[in-house]
Amino acid sequence: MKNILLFLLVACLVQWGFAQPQTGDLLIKNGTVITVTGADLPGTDVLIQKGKITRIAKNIAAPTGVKVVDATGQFVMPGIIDAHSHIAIDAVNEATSPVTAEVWTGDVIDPYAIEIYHALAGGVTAVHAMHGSANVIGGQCQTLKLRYGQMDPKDLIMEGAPRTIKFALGENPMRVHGTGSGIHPSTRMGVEFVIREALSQARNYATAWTTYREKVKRDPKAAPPAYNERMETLAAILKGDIIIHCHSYRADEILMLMNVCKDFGIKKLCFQHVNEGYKVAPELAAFGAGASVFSDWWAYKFEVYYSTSYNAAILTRNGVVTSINSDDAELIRHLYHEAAKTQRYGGLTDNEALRLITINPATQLGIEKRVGSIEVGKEGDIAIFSHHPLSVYAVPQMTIVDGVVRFDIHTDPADMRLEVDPKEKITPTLFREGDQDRCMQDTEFIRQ
Amino acid sequence: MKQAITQGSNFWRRGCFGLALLALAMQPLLLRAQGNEPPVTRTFVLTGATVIPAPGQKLENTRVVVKNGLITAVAADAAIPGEAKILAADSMFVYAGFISGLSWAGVPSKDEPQQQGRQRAPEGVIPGTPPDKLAGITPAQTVNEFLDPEDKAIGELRSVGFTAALTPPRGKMLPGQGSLILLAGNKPDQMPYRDHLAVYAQFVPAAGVYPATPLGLMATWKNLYHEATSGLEYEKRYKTSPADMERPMYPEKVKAFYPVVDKTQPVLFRTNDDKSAFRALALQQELGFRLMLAELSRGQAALGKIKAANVPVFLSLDLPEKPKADAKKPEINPNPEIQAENDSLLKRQEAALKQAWTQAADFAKAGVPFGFSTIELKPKSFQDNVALMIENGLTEAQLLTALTTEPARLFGVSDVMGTVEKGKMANLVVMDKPLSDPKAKVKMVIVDGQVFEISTKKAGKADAGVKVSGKWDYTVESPQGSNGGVLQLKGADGDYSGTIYNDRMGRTLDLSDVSVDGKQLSFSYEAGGNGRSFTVQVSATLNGETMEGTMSVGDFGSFPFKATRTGDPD
Amino acid sequence: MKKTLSLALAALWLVGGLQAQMPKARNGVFAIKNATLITVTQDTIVGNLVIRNGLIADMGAAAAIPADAEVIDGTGKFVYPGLIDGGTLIGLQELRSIDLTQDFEEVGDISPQMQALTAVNPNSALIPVNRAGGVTTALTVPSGSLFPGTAALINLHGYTPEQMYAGFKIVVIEFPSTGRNGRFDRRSEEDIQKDADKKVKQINDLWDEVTLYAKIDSAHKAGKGEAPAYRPDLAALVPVVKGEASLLVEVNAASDILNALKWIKEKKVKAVLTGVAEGWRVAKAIADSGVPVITGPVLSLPTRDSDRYDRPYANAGAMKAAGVTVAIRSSQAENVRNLAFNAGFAAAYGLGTQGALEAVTIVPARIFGVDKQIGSLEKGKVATLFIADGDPFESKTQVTHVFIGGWLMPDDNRQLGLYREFLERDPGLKK
Repeated sequence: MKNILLFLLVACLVQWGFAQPQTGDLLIKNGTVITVTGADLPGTDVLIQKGKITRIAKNIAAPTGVKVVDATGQFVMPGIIDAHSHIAIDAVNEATSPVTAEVWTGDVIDPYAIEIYHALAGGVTAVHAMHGSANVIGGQCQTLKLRYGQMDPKDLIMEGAPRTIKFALGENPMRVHGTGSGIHPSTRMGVEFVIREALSQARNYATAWTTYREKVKRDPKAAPPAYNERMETLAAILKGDIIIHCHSYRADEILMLMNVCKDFGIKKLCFQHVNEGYKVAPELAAFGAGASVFSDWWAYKFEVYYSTSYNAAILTRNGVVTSINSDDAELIRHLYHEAAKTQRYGGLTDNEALRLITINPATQLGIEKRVGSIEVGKEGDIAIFSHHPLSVYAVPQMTIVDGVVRFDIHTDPADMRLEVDPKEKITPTLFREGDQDRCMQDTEFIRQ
Repeated sequence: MKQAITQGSNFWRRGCFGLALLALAMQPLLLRAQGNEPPVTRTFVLTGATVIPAPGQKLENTRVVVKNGLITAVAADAAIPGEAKILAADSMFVYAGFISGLSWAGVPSKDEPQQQGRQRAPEGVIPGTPPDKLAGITPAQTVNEFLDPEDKAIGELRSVGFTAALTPPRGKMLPGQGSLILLAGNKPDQMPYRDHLAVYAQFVPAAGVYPATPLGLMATWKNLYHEATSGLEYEKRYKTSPADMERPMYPEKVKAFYPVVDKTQPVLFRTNDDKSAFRALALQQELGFRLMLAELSRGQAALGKIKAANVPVFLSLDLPEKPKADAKKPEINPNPEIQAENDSLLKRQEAALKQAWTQAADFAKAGVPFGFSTIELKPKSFQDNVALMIENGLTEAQLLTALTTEPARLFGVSDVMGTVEKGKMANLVVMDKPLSDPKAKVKMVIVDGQVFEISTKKAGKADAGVKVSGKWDYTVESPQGSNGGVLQLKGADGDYSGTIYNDRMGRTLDLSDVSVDGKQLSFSYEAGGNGRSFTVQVSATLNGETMEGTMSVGDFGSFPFKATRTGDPD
Repeated sequence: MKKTLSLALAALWLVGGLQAQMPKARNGVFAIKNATLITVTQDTIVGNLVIRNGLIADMGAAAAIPADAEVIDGTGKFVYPGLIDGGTLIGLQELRSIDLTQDFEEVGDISPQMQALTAVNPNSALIPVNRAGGVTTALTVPSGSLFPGTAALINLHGYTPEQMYAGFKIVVIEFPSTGRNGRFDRRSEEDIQKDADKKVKQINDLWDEVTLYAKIDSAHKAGKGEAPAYRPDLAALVPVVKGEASLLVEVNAASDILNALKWIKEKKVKAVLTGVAEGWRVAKAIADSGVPVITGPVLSLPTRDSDRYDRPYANAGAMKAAGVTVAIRSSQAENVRNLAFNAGFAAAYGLGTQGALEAVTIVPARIFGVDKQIGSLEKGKVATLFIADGDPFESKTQVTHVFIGGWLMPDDNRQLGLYREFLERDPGLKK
């Protein structure tokens, strides 16, 4: 990381335009390796080559040219994955319509966001950059790797990660569109209707195109249906090409969406926030839906008044694939601590707790074969901690993405901005407002 | 307005010797008669000049003969036609007229005034389904219907040597088609040289309606492109044999994209920084259209990708100013840790400035061909910025290429513009020193054979007898009603500063570029809110204790502006 | 696994069943036997702790267990003084998005007479949820204007505000800020300064007014002259201006902290700084002033993009190292329970476990002048304490018993109740 900054500082001397290497080689020596999917391995080395984990063993000799990191006395865990984030994007909500399936956060990545570095300094290596919750069918999301230092937004995209889309139930879409614009939905009945209507239209759209494509083979006079990016996306959901990640709180609305999905044959479904998921844990488990929850957020609005911080524990024990997310630029800095709270609230084991921020969110994002655990063949996304990561005394030491060190507590300078405004005052004082509800960013104009 | 040609040696280097700010004046030379009378002659000869026919070339003591808007000879011994007017250009330097890759000169902002950004949809409009105009998706309209030869910006841009510019309509994400216009002419239809040169695009979402964010904007782009691809394919089939076929009924905006889809027309994308350049490049790579980037600043990070994609680029001529040499040094903080922090912040800021100044040189070094665009350029800073780029490694030949031959090539007009050659359009710049000389001044600009002498006067004279300093109460009449506040102006003799307070915004903002020419006061400032900023420009005529003029607010329109002096500044 | 769980649950139900639907706090004589007693102010000892009449009647290795005591086996467990949160909204806010459930922000710039204690809702569902984490006492603070009101120290138990009141109130000032309010605050630097200067002038004018009010009032009380006009705002400030009561000064930016310290010195105010996000930048100046600090939340973002990422975590430790008296606050309503974790992070980033423990027990007790009653485990002090199976800053640790003023809190709160009901929902998938 330090090198990236040096690169920037001496930019005028350097030929511009060469991207930093995106994968690296690294040998992490003698740490306690928390594999997550297997046993903890004390005093073990992890070798990463060309961005992939190639060996996990004691006393690996460093191949020539491979940098060695001494992790003696430290804990080496898989990079943390945040299944619900809004960092690193320039816009969160295209809040002008209750259905905006065509928009995609991958189009608006902001590689300069300092939040990316902050997250790295909390051991996070991948985030699910989500559309906000203003719309019933919000927009497509993008799983990012936190390759801070890359300037090309595309370089942050986790290539090959499955497509995902944001849905949102309850108060937010009701307030934005019902209260805000006087259109559907203004109730949870309306929310269901908007989803059913959109999916039904998409089914018809897909049929129309299939019919046309068949017809035009024999009949050069056939006229194509009007192309529509929104319908294309919705049709892809029906085809099973896109995982739904749905902002939800109340048990009733969670059940509603599962019923809608059953009716439309949709199987890939993960609920977000899902504060009342604990009430319908057996139903979630039976459906096979995931749940991505807060550790302890509640009482910030009425639909989360009857929440419990034991949610993750109840869901886990009922067999629901559960993760803990941040949804927040501050919380993302200590997801390891958020996961640890499930030990206070519900007594999860170390392994159960760590799964909530590694392999489980990976599963929910469909990237569990690539990341989320330390296994040979997986990608070299690693976080190294001073203490066991579930201890409040754990201090992240180094964060590695694809074998490239992106955070190093000892060598990184304080100022890690990638970009400096040449006109701004040297000592600006910007106090941040509470970023609690970035889920609703870009909807201020409607909420006023 | 009288002309007075003076030889201020440090003319363009503002602040260099603490000189009074100088004002400029320009006016077509009276080679044509007043009104509709024909000019006495349309033939003239520049004599004794050093001519730079093309970047890297030089002809000493050479004549340039211009007749009926064309260059008819460039030679030391060129015959001087009997009907010619002689324009002595001894010791002067003659260049081909500069071409801006993107400008709004000639398109005054007359759009319906709108509030910025995060606002509600207008009454009766459902935010998700706005009409195209409100959404800012009007790629079918051309700039020609908006051209206004009276626009002040034409003269301002011309006064620093520009003779032509690619000018699109103003608007939001897809305002329309740009034309290459000549920076002269009495009637709108005399200005465009070539129509439909490019579909103009920018990352400006709509206000309160879809697409209200870059999210919707990018999706709209893809949707339009795919719709047009499908539409074009069907229309081609239909054209071949329409019998038995449904009549194609694609909207105008979709049809306007057909030339983009079949690559007969490029998209000129305004991308202010590397991030938006990357975004435009991503669209281009996904969809496959022909792309040009414009108004790029500090875009080095995208250089490699621009080069690989072989995308032409116009770099912004607007550069951050050099910090004033006499600026106050910040106090040393007694805490060494804090002081070290301040030092490192300062160092990074210097690097950022340097990055802005070296952009052109870096692009040149990387072998990426580029021109310049002038959307953000304050013409008065042109020579300063040229000096900064030269100082930071750009050669005069590279500079001239970017100002002349490269834009001519990119717009497909190399046969008529970009060099000083027999047969080309008489677009010329006459300077008293070589272009790369920081002290160089434009003395004369010839556009399409029409001569404009550029004169300068000392501001001390320009504002003689006019008292600017004072506290002024002002009002602005906008369609939302009238509002106002307090304007404070300080200084004299061409060196002015000030602040403006707006009652409704409830805050004070610093003015920049306060200048006075005769009784003409102008200044600008950066305003904004809700995460956006825009430039407000005011020009007004001083009349003793009152002034009257217009305030133009970003892209959102011009409004009547009035002020009355209430006392001395605080 | 499932079977054990069921059994454990069944046991819970049995016990819970006897306690009926609405568990209540109980007082009486309790003896915690053979526990590690973390006194905070003195050495850690292993022994017994006896609670009687709301007080720590006896403690130590030799402390006898009274015959009438309900004995709690503390073997392998730890007893801590109750955690004190130096700045919260608890009791004043039920739901963050619903204004009508919020009672911390009154209309007007200057309203020091507004009493937080009046508006504390003793039956807030938030209270039992949060005290379960060992937070027994919290300063609940009005906010949102120059003088938003008077904060009150409350115990997180009681049926009336009076029963909850922990014996300390403090007038709050939000010191004029030269920072921006957020990313949409687009005021020029000059304007920010002007706004701040205007407010400082407003305060100074107010100070003169209060002085005059106090003079007239005491003259009147001494039988000389008429009573001053009815000005409860001024009356509320009289003890502060006279230096009899302290003032809670919310301030965060480095330059504002320096300005506040200057003003405090000038006006000879007995002050407590709170917030102090950029305290590390001016730690020496704060230490030199001797003004104590309640900082937090520790779990927050750096104030400037160019700052090192861990500045907020390290802030408390940096100030303490410079000699500042530092307490910690959560600034929360619904998650005051995270005070322990805020302290834990401060501990990990330079404050140390003992320093962090002090910052949430004895230090705030001293700042609030209640250190004779709470803030440490000492014989004769009020029995406001909790029992845990480990370090309370560690997430894994379970807090098993919470005593407030000698009352044993019921082992129940809404969130725990939902856990007990839904861990194994019945009926499950099929009815």
